[in-house]
Amino acid sequence: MNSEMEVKLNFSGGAELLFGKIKHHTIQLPSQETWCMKKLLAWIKENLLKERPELFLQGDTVRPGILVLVNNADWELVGQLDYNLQNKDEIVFISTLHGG
Amino acid sequence: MMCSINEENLAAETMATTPKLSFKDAECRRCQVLKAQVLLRKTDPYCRDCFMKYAVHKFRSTIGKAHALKHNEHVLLAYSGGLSSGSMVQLVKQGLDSSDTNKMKMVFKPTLLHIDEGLILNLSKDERKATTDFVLEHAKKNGFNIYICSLEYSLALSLNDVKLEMNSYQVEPSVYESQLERLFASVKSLTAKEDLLIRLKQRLIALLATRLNHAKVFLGPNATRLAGQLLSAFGQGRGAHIAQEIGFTDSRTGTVFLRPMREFVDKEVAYLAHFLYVDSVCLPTLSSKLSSTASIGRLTEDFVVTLQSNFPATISTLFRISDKLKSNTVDRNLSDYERDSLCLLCLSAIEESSVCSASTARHISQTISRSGPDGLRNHTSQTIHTTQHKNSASCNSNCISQGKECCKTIDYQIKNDWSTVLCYGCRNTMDDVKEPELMPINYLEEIGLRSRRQLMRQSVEQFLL
Repeated sequence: MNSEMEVKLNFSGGAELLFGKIKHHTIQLPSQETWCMKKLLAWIKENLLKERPELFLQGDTVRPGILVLVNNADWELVGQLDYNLQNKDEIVFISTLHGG
Repeated sequence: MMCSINEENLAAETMATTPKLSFKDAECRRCQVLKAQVLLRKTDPYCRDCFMKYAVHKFRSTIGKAHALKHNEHVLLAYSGGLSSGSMVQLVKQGLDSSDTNKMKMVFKPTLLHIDEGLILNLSKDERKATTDFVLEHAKKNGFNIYICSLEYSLALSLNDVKLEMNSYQVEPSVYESQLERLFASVKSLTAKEDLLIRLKQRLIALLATRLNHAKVFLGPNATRLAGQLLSAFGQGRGAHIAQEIGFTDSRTGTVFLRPMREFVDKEVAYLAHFLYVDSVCLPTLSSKLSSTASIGRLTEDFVVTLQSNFPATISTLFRISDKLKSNTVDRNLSDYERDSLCLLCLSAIEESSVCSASTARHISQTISRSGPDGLRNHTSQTIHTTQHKNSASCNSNCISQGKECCKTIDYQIKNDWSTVLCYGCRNTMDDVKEPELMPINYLEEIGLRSRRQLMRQSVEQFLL
């Protein structure tokens, strides 16, 4: 069994400014453990976020004004922070704030 | 007792009344068949198709109910490259190609317009080129013509000096480049900078629309942005212009600005962009990557967005306030005399300042807090002094008297008295501009002109029945 899980992350609407202006990221996560969104956000903060974490995260969730889509559906419909990631999931972060 | 409310309890009670519904794997509330992909207002799950129908309907009805467009009219779409205006362009395109027989086809002729503001954002030439290339590509993909103009030309006094390119763009230095850079460098606060940017952009768009013979311009701000602007307008002393700044139509400049995206909250725009595959270019603004207290605009946006995330009625409530407000409608066919009561920068009506007005009260309290009671005495004598100025300003521009009272010397003295040519909000902004002579408005001449006209009016008044 493959021990790594592949997850695609997209940042748009200005959120990419905080990630070195790169919109599409594909990341590999060890699949032995379960990855909930909360854990993923912490991982992003540690590994991807280039600057100003307070402009992306607030507490352990994303800052108001940043929309999260899990496989094209609102994350509020799949359990928000408690959603458990699956292999080949696609997560989109869209900043709706003026100027990112 | 009102004031003895325990805040902790209050918070707990308010939270308790907001139902925590679970929408896990909910189905669409409209078709009740498909699995929902969108959750609006925290309570309404929609599937993708139903959401798109809802959004398209909302867009068309916003334009339709205002009866603002004539058949086959030419319309400029102000397109920045961001999500909101990008979705607007896409929705217009869909409306024009609509093959759905149940739906009326939208009939107007759109052209895109992009303003390159890279210079004041300190973007490099390559970055500016990348943005404009993206904008050009997007227009080409949708089959629209696009005009691109640089923000520098907002400083041009005549239309003929403006360089406007269609379907191509070169980032080239112009004669206005250093003037614009110096102007923005001389602005003290970020709030004033942002406001100045809005006014200059608005002026440029109106100029270009006139030159291109387009009477209508679509602007792309969405409901969330406008709700933030509503609060910052109050904060910046523009309360009187809210109906024009936030409403669907804004006709202050003579060109009619329409805001067809104003019914969409940011979340809806983000979904629209995602579902319509609208790619956006990352557009930094003056306040990008700054803290939330960097400017009034930034602070109110933060406030609205945070409140909205817990209370989904925030934005609609703010909108209902703005829709009830009406500003004195400005008739475009004004005589010179009536034009004298318009602000040179934002073209709103300047509120009449009588002896007992809020602005006078503010002015007095400002004088006292800055220079104590002595300041007030000086202030009173200064007011008399200004009246004298106005009287002597009656000597015309051919004035040859070299005396102290000549209008030319007075012009110099009243340099900082904007009250006859700018509205209260613009005065606040201009107070923060260190080098106002870099502005594209000839305010000194206008101050003299207006006071002379006023004096003339006073002198003939007694002869009129």
